[in-house]
Amino acid sequence: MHDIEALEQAWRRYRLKKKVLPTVLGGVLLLGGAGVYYFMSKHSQTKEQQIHHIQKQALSTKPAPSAPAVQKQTPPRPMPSAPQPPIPKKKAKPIASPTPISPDLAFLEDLQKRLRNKSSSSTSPHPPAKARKTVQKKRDIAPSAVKPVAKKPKQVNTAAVVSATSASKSLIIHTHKTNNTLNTLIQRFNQSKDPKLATYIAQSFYQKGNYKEAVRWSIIANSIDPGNETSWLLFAKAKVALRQKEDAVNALRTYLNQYSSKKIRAYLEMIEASSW
Amino acid sequence: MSKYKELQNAFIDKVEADEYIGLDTSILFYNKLMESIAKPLKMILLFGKPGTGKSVLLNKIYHDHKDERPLFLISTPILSEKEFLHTLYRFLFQGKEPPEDLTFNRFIQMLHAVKDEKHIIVLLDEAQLYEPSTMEKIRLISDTRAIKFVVALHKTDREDLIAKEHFQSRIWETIELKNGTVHDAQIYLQKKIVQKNFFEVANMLTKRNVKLIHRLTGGNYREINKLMYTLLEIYDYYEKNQPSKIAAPTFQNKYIEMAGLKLGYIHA
Repeated sequence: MHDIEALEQAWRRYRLKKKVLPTVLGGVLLLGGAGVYYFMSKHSQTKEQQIHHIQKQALSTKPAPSAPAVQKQTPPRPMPSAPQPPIPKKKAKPIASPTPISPDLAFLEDLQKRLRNKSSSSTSPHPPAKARKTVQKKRDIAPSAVKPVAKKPKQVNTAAVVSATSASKSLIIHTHKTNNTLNTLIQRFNQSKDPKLATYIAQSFYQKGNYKEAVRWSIIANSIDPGNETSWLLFAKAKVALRQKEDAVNALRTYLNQYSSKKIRAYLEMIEASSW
Repeated sequence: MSKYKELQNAFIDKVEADEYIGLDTSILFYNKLMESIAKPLKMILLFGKPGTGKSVLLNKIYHDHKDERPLFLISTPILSEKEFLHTLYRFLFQGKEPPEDLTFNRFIQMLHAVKDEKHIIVLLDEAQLYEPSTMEKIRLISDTRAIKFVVALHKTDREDLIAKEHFQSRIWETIELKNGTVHDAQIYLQKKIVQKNFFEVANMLTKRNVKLIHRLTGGNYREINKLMYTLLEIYDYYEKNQPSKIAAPTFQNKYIEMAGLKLGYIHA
């Protein structure tokens, strides 16, 4: 009789060893794993927030750049929590948005004002490092001789470059129009064959007044994605601009036969109603 | 006496014909062995691990067919060669007492003399216990074709036996018995319990119980008997002292594990 009771105790020990302990240990390991996962995810979140914060700061402290029409897109990267050096410039990544961003050239006016003030006083012993080059030239220039010329760029995707020429003894601000961004976009399109990109290029050409290219690119975009409303509209607008209203009307009617679009219908009605 | 105590007796290890349980596999081995006996073979080897049912199978065959054919069973090894020869003589000559001066050579001469008239089958259990010299004599006796031997031995000894060339050439049929599957164990237990009319206890046995029993015993019938015997002992104790502990309608794995602990299948 006593044997059975001893046997039951032995069974309890066995049960504890074989079943309960592994369960408890498994539970502890699971909790530990969950804790580590939580900590890691929290840590990575704070890192991301820090990176965001740094990027925001960097953007807000940067002077309004003579940026091209297209905004830069820098994807968030894992960075250490220590203060970061300025993010190195990369190739501009265009966004296929329907309305391009025009460059802010207000800084040119500020610069001109400042130069005027400085040239009139010419008392500053230690000019700022950024303006050093300009000021060094300015020392040799008579205040009256300064004829600032600020040419406002007509086109959207034009990069403005400020420089000074020592030969003319006057500060000349040159602006160079570049089509680099558009070329880059075309190269990218050749690789990706993205209809949105083609539409964007067509829009860019339209805004630049290059209607023939706008027509060509809207046809390219349309051939890839026939349902793309914007490409049809751009085609029609460019055709209208080229005084080929008939083509525009035909195109818009063809589109409306297959798809329904209030925008296209409104534009069609408008050009049909117009006398030109 | 509690029902558990009564049922305990069913699981006492006995080698008797009525202990034979007609499982699918055991019926298969039974028929296979009977077919082999019917063939004109000198020796048939029946081997397997201890507890796989060799002895029970030999007993069953002996009891089923002893009245219809000259079938004899030597369940316990006869270690004296003289006694062994005398026993065979009695089998061959229907109980006649052997002459006192019966030698092995004389016996072989007698066998050659009666080989066209008499054919007997001798079931030799636990053959691994025989001396090699006795085994050699068994071989020579089987060569006369007057006596056919069914030799049952443990698997571990088979290799030694087979290694001897003289047996290799004579053993024409080999039957290996194996441990039972979970299904075999379930049928075995149910039949064993029902055989003793303990239907209530038979209903207490679940598949989960059988799986555990099979895991602990490896499906060896002798080990199953031992485990069941111990389990019923535990149940008997609780029924007498703490009946509330065994109030569940089925066997509890806890008590099967306790039996396993007691028998050393598992260690605390």
